[in-house]
Amino acid sequence: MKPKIAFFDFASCEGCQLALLNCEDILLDLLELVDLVEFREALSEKSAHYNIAFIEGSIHREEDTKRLLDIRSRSQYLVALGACACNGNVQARSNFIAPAENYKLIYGEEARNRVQVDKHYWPLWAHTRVRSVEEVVKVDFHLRGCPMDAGEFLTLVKALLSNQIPHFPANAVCVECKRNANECVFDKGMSCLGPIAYGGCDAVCINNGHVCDACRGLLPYANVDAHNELMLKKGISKEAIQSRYRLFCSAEKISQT
Amino acid sequence: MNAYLSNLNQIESWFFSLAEKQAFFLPRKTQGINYRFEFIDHQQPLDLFSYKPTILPPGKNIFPDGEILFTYNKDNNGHYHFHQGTAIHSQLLAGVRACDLKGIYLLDKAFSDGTKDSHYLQRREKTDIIAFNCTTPCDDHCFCEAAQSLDFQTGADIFITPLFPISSNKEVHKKQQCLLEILTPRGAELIKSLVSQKCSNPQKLIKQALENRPKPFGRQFLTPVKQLSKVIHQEDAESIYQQYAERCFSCGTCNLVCPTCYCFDTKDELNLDGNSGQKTRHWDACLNPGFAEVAGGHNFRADPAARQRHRVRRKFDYLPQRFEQTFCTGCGRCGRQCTTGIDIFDIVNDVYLSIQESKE
Repeated sequence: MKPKIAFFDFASCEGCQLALLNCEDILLDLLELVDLVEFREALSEKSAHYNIAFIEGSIHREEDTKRLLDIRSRSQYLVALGACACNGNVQARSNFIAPAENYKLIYGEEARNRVQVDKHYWPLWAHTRVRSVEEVVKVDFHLRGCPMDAGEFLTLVKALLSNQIPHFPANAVCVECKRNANECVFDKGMSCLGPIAYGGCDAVCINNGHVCDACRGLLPYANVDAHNELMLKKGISKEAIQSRYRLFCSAEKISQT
Repeated sequence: MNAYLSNLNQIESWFFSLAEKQAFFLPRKTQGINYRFEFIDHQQPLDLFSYKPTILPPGKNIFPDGEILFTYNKDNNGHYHFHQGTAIHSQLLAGVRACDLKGIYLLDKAFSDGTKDSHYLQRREKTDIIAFNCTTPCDDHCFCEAAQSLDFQTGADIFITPLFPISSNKEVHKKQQCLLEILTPRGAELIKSLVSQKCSNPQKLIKQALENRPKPFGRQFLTPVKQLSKVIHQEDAESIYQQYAERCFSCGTCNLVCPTCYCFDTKDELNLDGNSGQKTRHWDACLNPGFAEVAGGHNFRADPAARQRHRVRRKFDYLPQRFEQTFCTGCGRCGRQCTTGIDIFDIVNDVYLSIQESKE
């Protein structure tokens, strides 16, 4: 019997699933090998058990938690797919701001004043803490990035289909920049989060003239103090550094700097 | 050995004619402030002698990242068949600095030691090198004289000495003369297409050209490198390694840009059909925390200070013991490209100082 693969989305743009649908050259070969049983972007079939469940999106509401626990209990492997699932992504920035203040930022002062007097105006998300999938259930593998990397997705699926453990080295983006002989972003007079961020993306942003904003999250051994010092030395303000750190890296460690 | 005189104009046309016959790499400026070994083109003026050392050393052209070592497939009877991986073509590396030439020489040593690395050695065999002698330090990170790679010639097919003053901020007149020494039969073959005149007194011209070198040339260690190696071998300096580790990102840049770092990892990449695949090799870096991690999650060098110490000892102690010369070429790349400015030159000087002080 072919292994059953399912995709579930929580708070996300579903862009990671679209990134997969964009891999037209391998999709048909892949579907020969697996049964795709749940995939909202492409079909409406359901199943009781999954060999690999891909979770896209961050977890916000109580009912999301319940749904996720249920999926976990029916899955052999559970994979966090993309930056929202792996580290909360941009929506987790709201974790750093009081709900009323956040509400004001989005809808303006008038809306903020209204919710002070009428609780029915609060949107559903307003009081929830944005969590990564791992903060709720055990995650077997992370496919990082915004969006996830199709190459890594294939590596993972091929490894699991042949009963191997997929290996994603926890190296900084700098490793891939060197492999590509990229001009260092700092040498271009810009600043970069590459030295403290998970690589695995082949440094795609820097290859194309951009900087790294650490969408794949903070490395477990990231030397944030040294990086913070480096950024200050480059003349970047404390506030700008913090905002940069919080853009994708909602991890606790980085939020303290 | 024969020597020839030629001017920059003639050398430039010669390069273009060589580039028609084989893959031809030489230092080209990036859009920013750095250089890379790339294909020659007509867009940029030749910048042979004053360029800042390239992001990656030219030796990487002989030891490419992601090289396919072999591919394989399983037939209907369950038998495996193996095929050659990445094709090995001839190539020419021109404008190689003496420090990088020594880097290639040291890679040759490492890859021929014990079980010969046929992938590297086959590609090396097909690589011609036109190197040159520096008459002025490339920038303030250079310490090639201290690391004993200034004037290094071994491994080059042709070795050029510019007979005019080098300056990075002044364009050189195309009529300026260079002396080209032919070091191998392959070099004699290459020089045939160069418009040049035979030189009868090369040693005198070389001596004159090198007389005006600054003395000392580039940065100098606190003690000669042999003595440095001895001290690093005999004593440890935990606190110094710790001090540098505090600002280290463990990103591996220092390893990946080093002309003598030859460690690699291999990967088995299975194709979706499940019956075929390939084995590839990728540059590895001992400053990356996962480098020394083994089964069960045990890590021999989980501490960043232990990794700094390991790198220094590889270059100045372990490999010199095995190959009888320092494995740091003084090219300055690691210090130049480290975003937090960790420079192996400073580390070894500090290690030496701290050991001297502890003795007093």
